[in-house]
Amino acid sequence: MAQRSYETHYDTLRRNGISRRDFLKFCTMTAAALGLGPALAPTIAHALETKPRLPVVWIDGLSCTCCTESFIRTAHPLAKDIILNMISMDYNDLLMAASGEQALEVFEEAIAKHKGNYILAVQGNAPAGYGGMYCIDGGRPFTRKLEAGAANAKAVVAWGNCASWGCIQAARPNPTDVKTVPDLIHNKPVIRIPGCPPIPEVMSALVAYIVTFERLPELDAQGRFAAFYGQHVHDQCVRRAHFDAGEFVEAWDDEGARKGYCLYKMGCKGPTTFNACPTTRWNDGTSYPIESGHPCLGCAEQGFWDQGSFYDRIMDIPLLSTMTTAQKIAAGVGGTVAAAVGVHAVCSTAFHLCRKHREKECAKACAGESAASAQNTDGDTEKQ
Amino acid sequence: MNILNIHPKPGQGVYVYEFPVRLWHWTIVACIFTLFVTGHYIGKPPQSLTGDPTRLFYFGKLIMAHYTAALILVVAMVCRILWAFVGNQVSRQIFILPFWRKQWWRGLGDDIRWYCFLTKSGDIHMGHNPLAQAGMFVCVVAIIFMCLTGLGIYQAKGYSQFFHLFRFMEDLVYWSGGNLLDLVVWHRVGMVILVAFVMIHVYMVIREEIMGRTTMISTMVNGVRLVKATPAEDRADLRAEAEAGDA
Repeated sequence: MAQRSYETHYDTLRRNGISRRDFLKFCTMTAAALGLGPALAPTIAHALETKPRLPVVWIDGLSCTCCTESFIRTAHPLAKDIILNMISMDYNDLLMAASGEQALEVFEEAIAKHKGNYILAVQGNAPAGYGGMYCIDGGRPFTRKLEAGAANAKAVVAWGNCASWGCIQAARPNPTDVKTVPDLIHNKPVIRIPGCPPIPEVMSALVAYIVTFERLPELDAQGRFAAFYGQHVHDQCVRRAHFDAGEFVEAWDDEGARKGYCLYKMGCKGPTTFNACPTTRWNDGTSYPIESGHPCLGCAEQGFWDQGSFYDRIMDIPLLSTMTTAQKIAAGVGGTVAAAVGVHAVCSTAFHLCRKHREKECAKACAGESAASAQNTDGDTEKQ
Repeated sequence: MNILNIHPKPGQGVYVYEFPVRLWHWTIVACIFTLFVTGHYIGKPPQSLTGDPTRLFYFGKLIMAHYTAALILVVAMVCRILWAFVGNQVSRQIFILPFWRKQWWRGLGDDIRWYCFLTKSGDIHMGHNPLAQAGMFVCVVAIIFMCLTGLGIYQAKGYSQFFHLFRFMEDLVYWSGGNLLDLVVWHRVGMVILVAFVMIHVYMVIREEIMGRTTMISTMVNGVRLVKATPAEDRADLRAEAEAGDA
């Protein structure tokens, strides 16, 4: 192998004890996950072998760090875990050894060294209230760190629901005036990887895609990674057959729950949530929430904290800031209209009967009148 | 000739609702009825079944019925809008509210008085009376709203490229700070509005049929609007008026 001045992904993987067989497995898996088919696995492998590694700078805003938690709980020693945790990650608040002043230096160094070439992964969001004072990082508002990081980045990844949609921090009434990453960064391509937390495989696939094809992947209209957010959770669900059959869990721990019936009636948000949970699953493909017996919360969706209970299907009406559900509106409007129609019908019947009665009287009177006038005419004739 | 300006004598019939309009009316009646029933159960599924899901497909069939009726409704609405361009004046009425005409407002006032029992008999209209016209306009808007929200939800399944035309509905809810679930909720609110419309519509038609001066239900069957004989009481009033005029 020719000597190179830079280290590739493959070099680093080999240095960390990953076999070529495992490396190729990873490439095949990634190709499949991206929907590219097996023919493109060698392309990915070639790219990872020859191209310089893609640096990722991972910064934390207002967040619970569950995105990183999701990440470090992937099974060991998987290539997809290592490729991000040990190789490309040039800066990560939580996972790196440095702290304090040193950490700040590492950040400055990383963004200066890989200027225009690194991916800025943002976990959490930036509160804009009080000039960003609700989230201080290194003695400065987080918004400034975000701006500095994004200024020289190749692309910005909004990692997790906080960064993508605002999540719980942006839930009504949004006291800290949280802004999402796409709200704040306008001069760079922003990719949304929503989820609370997002699926780690999606991140490694994103990096592999960018390295292989040297361009950003196809995004949907909402800026999400289309390969993973193109379908409802519902349409890939393991319990879908029960939904179509009409077999639902009616209450926790009932017969249906034990048999693994559909959780739709327990408030599952699968039919309106775009994510890849049922196909990629979690923790090395072990399971995902619906498979484990809990309805989907819709954690990859915008505003999922504001849509009423996690365990209801019929939700609060958005925009009106009330606790009114469509069901309550139905009862209210339906009841009022039915009552109004009923009362009006009774009045109309009375009105109609009165009119009929008066008509009869009138007809009688008219008949009398015409008879009288006929008699008058007769009398006149007789006189003549 | 403008049908709306015809003033037929009692007992005289005028052909107002052309065949496509009547066909459309009864088609959407069937569709909307199916959509109410299936839509209600899709939001609040019936009691759970048990059995082998390999053979059971009850909820799937319910949803299929909803989609089928919905697509027929969409096609019917498109055809109806196209018919408004070639049909008679009555076929155009439900799409255009002539709110700029003083006469229309006067007619609306008369209708409201008639429904508040302040006049003895309603006016004769060959097409819709102004109140019914306003009601039908709201209904058409509500149906279009239901078609758009429904197609917005449907396109997210990615069934066909054609339906991706309606992705703008999905983009609209994301833009407004929500997600696809909001579209589902609004779709259900639209159903409530249509249920209310149907209740009022059916009541008013039956009331007009009994108390009004023209036929209603048979008109939607054979297309002929028949003016009933003027009630004896009104005839007396009219004669009194005529006599007063002579004097």
